[in-house]
Amino acid sequence: MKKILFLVFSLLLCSMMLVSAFAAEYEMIGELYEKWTTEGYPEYVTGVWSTYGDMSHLTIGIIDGEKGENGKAEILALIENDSSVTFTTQKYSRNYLVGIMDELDGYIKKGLAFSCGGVYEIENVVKLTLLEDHMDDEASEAVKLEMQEKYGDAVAFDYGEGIITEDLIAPIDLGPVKEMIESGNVHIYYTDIESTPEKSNKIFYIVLVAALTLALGMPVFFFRKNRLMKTTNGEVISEAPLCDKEIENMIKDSDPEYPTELDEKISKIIVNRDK
Amino acid sequence: MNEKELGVLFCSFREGNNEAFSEIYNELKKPVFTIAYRITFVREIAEDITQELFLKLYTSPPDASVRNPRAWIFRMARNLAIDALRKKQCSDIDEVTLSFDDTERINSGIDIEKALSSLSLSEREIVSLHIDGGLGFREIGKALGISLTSAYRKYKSALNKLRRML
Repeated sequence: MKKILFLVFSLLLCSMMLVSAFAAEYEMIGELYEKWTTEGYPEYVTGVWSTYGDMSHLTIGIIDGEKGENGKAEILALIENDSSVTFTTQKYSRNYLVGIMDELDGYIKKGLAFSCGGVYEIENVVKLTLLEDHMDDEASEAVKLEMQEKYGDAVAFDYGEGIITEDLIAPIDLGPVKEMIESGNVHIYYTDIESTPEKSNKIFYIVLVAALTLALGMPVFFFRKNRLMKTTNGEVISEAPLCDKEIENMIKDSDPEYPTELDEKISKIIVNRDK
Repeated sequence: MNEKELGVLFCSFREGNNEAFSEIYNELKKPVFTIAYRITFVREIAEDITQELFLKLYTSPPDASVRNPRAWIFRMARNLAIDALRKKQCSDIDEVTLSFDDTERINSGIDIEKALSSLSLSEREIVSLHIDGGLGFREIGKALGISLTSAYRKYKSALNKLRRML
């Protein structure tokens, strides 16, 4: 009896050790999300948002198709608690939309009637908010048409007011946040304002938004940590943190030169053997 | 060249077509040399391994039961490289890393070789088999005797280390 008990106990111990040996890298999906926010999102991710308003359960958008399915499997292999995540499929990768947003930032900075814009992860578009006063503005209309022609349904427009707040933490007293917008390193939270302010108030808000953008954007601009990737001559070829693909390409590009004399050497040995 | 085409070439070579061996050699010589070099970091040893491997391959090519000849060959290259390191009397080969101060940031220029040399042997194997050899993590896991998940995790960890240095 003692032997049986000992055997059962040993098997139990072994199975526990096996479980810990194959444990996933992250306990909850939130930990993986934190990593993405600092190190960059994978190409197959279209967006990440809270399912129930906190970090305990997240919804992850993945690219529709095989690439997305592989990505989903990769995510599930990395997390221990797969009940903390729900997947949904979407059309555009988050990195692609952020790329568009970066391009559109140039227009926003020119003040072409856009109060703000950003990547709307749930809707899987880059949305630009136009001020009602500029609805008929020719320049704005031209830009709008240009954007629609260039990016198709990856870009959308609406009319309303945007509110820029501190980055990273959603404003609690702002009411239900419709969407989080990310523009560069500045996070903007957008909410619908039900009451239409007076015109004078609107100017005040515009000035406030501009001032806050400057106040938040300048330190981010100046103190953002960039890892400089340079050639041996010192020429800067990239300022962004390296993504996996870039590192892989760097490794491929640095392959050692194959010694061509080896071809002849091997060939001679083979010919001699065949003789 | 995909696995099927490579398999056909091996089949042809086994039937006595030496031209097929030339094609196999030209297809695989560079990745074999690179994998051997990335593991040993000694050019001469990598050359010897490449030579030894292709001579072995010429005299005894993988039989038809080998489903993935590419992975089979790269596993062979990896084993020869490990043997070569052992011959160099490295007592703890898993800790073999070339001299590199991890705190030293590479700000003045790209030196991917230096960064790669700071990885552990098993990390270098995985990175090289995946990037230079184009093997999937399942095949790498088989070659190294570890699970797919472990291979993937080690690969990601190696890339993170490289990211911090570059």
